[in-house]
Amino acid sequence: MIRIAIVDDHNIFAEGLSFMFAGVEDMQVVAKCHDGKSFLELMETTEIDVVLLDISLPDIDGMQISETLGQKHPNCKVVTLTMHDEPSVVRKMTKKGAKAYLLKNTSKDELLAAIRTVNEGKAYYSPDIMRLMLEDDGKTKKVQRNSLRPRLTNREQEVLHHIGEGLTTQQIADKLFVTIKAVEFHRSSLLTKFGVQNTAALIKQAIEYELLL
Amino acid sequence: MNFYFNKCLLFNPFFRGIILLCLLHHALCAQSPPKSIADSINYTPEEIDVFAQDYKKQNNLRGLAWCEEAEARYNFRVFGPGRYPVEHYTKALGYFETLNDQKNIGRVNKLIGDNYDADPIYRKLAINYYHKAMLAHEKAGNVSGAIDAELALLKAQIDNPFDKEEDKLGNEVDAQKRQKEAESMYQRIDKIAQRCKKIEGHELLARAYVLQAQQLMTMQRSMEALQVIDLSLELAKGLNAGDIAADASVLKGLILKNNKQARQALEYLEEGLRLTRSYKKRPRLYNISLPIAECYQSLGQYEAATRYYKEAYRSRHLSANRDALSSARYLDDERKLDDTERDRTELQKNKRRQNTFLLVVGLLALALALLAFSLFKGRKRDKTINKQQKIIDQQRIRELEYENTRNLVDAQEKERHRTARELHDGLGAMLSRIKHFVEANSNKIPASNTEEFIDPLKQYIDEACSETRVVSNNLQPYALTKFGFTVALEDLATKSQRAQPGIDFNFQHYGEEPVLSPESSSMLYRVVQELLNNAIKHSKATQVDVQVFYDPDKIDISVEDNGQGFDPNTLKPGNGLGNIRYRVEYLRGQVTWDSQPGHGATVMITVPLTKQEN
Repeated sequence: MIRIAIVDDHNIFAEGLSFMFAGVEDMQVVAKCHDGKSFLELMETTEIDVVLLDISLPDIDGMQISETLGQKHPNCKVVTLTMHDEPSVVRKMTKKGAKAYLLKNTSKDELLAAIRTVNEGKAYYSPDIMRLMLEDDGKTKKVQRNSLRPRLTNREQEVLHHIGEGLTTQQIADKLFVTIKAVEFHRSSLLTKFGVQNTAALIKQAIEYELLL
Repeated sequence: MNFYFNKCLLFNPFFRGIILLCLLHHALCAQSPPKSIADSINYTPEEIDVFAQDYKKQNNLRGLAWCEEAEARYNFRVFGPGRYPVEHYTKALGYFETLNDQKNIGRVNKLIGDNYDADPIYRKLAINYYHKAMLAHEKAGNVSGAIDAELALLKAQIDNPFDKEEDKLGNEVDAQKRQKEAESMYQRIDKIAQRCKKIEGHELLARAYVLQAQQLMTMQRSMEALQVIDLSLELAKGLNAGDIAADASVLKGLILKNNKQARQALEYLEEGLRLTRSYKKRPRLYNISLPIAECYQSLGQYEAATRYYKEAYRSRHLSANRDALSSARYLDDERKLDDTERDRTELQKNKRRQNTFLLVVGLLALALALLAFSLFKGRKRDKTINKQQKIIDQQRIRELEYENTRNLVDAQEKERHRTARELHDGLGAMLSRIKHFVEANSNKIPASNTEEFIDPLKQYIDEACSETRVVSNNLQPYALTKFGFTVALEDLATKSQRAQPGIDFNFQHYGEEPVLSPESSSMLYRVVQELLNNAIKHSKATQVDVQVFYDPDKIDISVEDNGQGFDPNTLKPGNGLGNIRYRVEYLRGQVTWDSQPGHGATVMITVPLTKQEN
């Protein structure tokens, strides 16, 4: 028998959800909590195998609860059940130890499958969430200065090229049909991207990275 | 004259104004300058400036007024109704007031009112201007102009959503009060209708009937309402007046809907929707799509109902965005108007001063010239001191107004936040519950019905869930408050990528994200959101780069695409660029556009950081 707790501040949802477990033989809803604090208190006295945990809660958010559980009650596995489908939230939640991530409109079959899977100590991600996590990888990056060749946009490449040719800001502006302000903006971006203070150092770096030939 | 009137009234109020102006122009030809600016031509600001220079030299106030109006029309074409045209109309009004030209004062007041009326938040101002227009036309003895303004005034009063909400205390009393109001409004409109008949103003009469039918509906006299609205529809059709026909059709639909004649109601509502789309500037489609959806629902045509519900929410969301922005603009505009008001009095003063000066020259001999000269000089010194004082005052006022706007924006962000959370958690949870209920009970329904009934039902619920998520996330991204600007933009890039697989989105950020006030981070987020939307919708790009550079004293943001580009000089209204500029200016930052047709586009934004820490 898998002992289940539901943590969700919306009473109607929690009620509806527990109703769904009525005919399921290997599971039992032991408790329903409406905030994080009462759930963590419950954990001190009651043994729970799987918690269905929402993220937006009135007091402590689901990410923090998940982290606390990982430290204090590692036997209780977390199935995230939420409305949030933002990649950052999914990522953070899995990082904090959630073994499964489901959206609230998930099907009954999927929810039951997820509970059984995490109960065996494995992780469960629906295809949707899996896709989301994969897409998120490598799509955006925080770029460390001086660590790798920076990625330049088309416009920045053009400006860099003209700087390399020794043109002045005014000349570059005329050549590219843009305002001086725009050229200055691109130049400042280039300096930041290359982690340098002035144009001479910029050209030197650019040649080292083989961005200027 | 009447013939001209009817003909020109077929068009929308602005065209109406222009044509009226043509007429007046002919009438006043004797006074108008030899090289005059024509009303039917779409001048560019440069061309207008050439005229204005000339008129200034001749000290021709009427000519200058015309120039301001041309400028206002230009701004209207570019930015749509709102503060920009109003600024110029107000200046034109100043000239006409100096000339004491009541007919034109009335006309321009009406135009300003129309500009304000396009936005519910300004409606109170609109009512003010319509009132002034009415008084001026009455002074000038222009009956149809006065009726025109009065009808606009009443319509604005009836539609003003803000007054109504204040009245919502206790339903019983409220209903009675509204009945009474409707009754007296009905009487007032009836009198106007009589006057319309007297001068055979059919178009005015059609408009009066629409308002009258609306009152009858409020008074729950639906049979009479239907009779009146049919008269209006007939007139509008005869005159080929699309915008009146739009209002009348919608109203007839609503009356029929109230009578539970959903099928007939739909016919008129859909016709009204079509007309509104093609004849109205800045239509508020929410008020039409919603009843259509409700009608379909009551007829059991759920798919069509869903379609219109979606549309209603989309347009509501759009106008909510617009409203939030314009209410923030409201105070700013008030300040601007104050400025123009001051300019106007300055101008009048100057003119008076000039007249006095001529008189002095005529009367006094050359011997007194020296004295006059020293007097003049003294006045000039006074003027400089005055000017300095004025600048200091203005600065102080501006700071105060700015503070006000800030509080307003803050309150709006909070409200958005709350609404987003309610949608997300409340409505979302309820929808999920419905789905779980259906699943838990689906075994009670014969298996043969599952495919036909249960499966589509589940799918609809899922669609409703994801729509709720989208709407709430647009209102206030959870990641923005929880993890900050950078993470929210990461999410935005990932989501855009998922929605648009054909475009390669890249997001890079440099430096450490500073602590941003919630207000500035959501302003900046909305700016990037808008820029991405533009790139997706208009640019035909295959690659979009979003970059953020955090510096200790500023944030640089750039959005670059490799699409078809545009000519920054010929921007069309409605592409959200005005919104972007407004938000960035509000954060005291700068926007730079860099684009050429065929060579992609880069939008660069720099926002100083000192401001946010305050």
